[in-house]
Amino acid sequence: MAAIADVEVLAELVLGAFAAGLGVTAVFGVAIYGGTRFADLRREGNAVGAAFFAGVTVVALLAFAASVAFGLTIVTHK
Amino acid sequence: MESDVILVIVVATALAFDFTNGFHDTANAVATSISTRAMPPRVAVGLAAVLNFVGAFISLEVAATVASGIVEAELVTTTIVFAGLVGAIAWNLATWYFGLPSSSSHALIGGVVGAAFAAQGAEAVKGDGLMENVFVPALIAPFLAFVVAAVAIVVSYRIVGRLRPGPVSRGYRLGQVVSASLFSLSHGTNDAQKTMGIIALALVAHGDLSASNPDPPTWVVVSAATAIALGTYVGGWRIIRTMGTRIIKMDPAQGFVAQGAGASVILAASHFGYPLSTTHVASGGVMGAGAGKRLSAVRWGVAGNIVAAWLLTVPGAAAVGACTYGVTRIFGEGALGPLVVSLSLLALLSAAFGRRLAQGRTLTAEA
Repeated sequence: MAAIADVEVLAELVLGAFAAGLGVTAVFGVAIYGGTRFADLRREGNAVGAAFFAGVTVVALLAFAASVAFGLTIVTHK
Repeated sequence: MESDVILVIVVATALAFDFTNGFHDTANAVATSISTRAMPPRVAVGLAAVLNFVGAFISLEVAATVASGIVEAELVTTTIVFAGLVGAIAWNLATWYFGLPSSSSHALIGGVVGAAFAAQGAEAVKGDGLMENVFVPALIAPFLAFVVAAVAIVVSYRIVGRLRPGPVSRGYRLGQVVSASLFSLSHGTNDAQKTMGIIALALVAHGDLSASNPDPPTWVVVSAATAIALGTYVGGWRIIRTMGTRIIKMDPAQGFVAQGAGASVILAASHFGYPLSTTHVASGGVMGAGAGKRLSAVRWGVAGNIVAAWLLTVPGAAAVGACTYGVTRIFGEGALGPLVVSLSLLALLSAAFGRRLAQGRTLTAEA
């Protein structure tokens, strides 16, 4: 197997794919969670809670945008 | 004069392959978005077409892309490339007809391997290269995408599971526009290069390009980008239907996870220098997003048909490539063989699609 597939590269690939796949989907899920909770709490008049979840949403969206930008750099530099 | 004719035939066949590559692989980028109504079908394929076109201009790494490392490059002639292209086109059309997503790259490799084998014998084919570049990635890609998407959908449901479904669905639909765009851009960058590589190879053999610096002329880049974009816009609706609704019935979260996890796996693999088939990853992602919710959510019969098509892609395209090479050789070593084969294929396709259009059906839409 080692002769036809570099085990080290394969291990990197599996770990990288898991980190990227789970990271991107989890971060986007957190953005949706934050956005929905922000809207709910604002409607209920809870300004502090709404501000917290607005912050969570912004951070998660920034992380998602960063992962998309990283993906674009891979596409353009391969 | 004769070499001019062969050059024109190879260029036209390469662009025809590029077109089938586009419409065959549209599903990878848009099937889940259409299925979850993230985008209307025409908008989805339009966006995918534009980004495939743009992607074709992003990178011009063309050197020796035709079955590189899989067949002995110095033994490959333009007739072998022509026969390989015919094998790949035939396989793409056959799998499209049955609505089965299969790898266009593996079809091209299979076609060239079959033609090279028929022309030069077993010494023309590098078995190790075939194993390393085709069979091992073909095993890894769908399995990895399946597991990542299955875990990712469980995590996603844990995060958003208790929220109101309306905003959650709207959010995931927006995310799908981004992930579909990344898929399309990556596809245009990867797959249009193959056609450019084939045409560059033919131009080198014809003496129009230097072998040491085979950068494709602008007309090659523009025509390859246009062919893949047009193919994408025409849309292989049968495969879109299979990927979007037949494997699993998906909600927007599953659609985003299948595509987001799939795009992440492909880009991570590219980052580590281990390119995987977009089709295998996209299909594995869809199956994983279904199985993560409930194993019985996946229609395993459909999934089995798709896996069977993957297993048959290289041998199937190789058989057609080898037969095509054999037929061209009946007419000698000149341009007559490729000319007869191309005209016969054109007549066959015109008859098939002409009948379809005459019956009032669109070119590639599901009946």
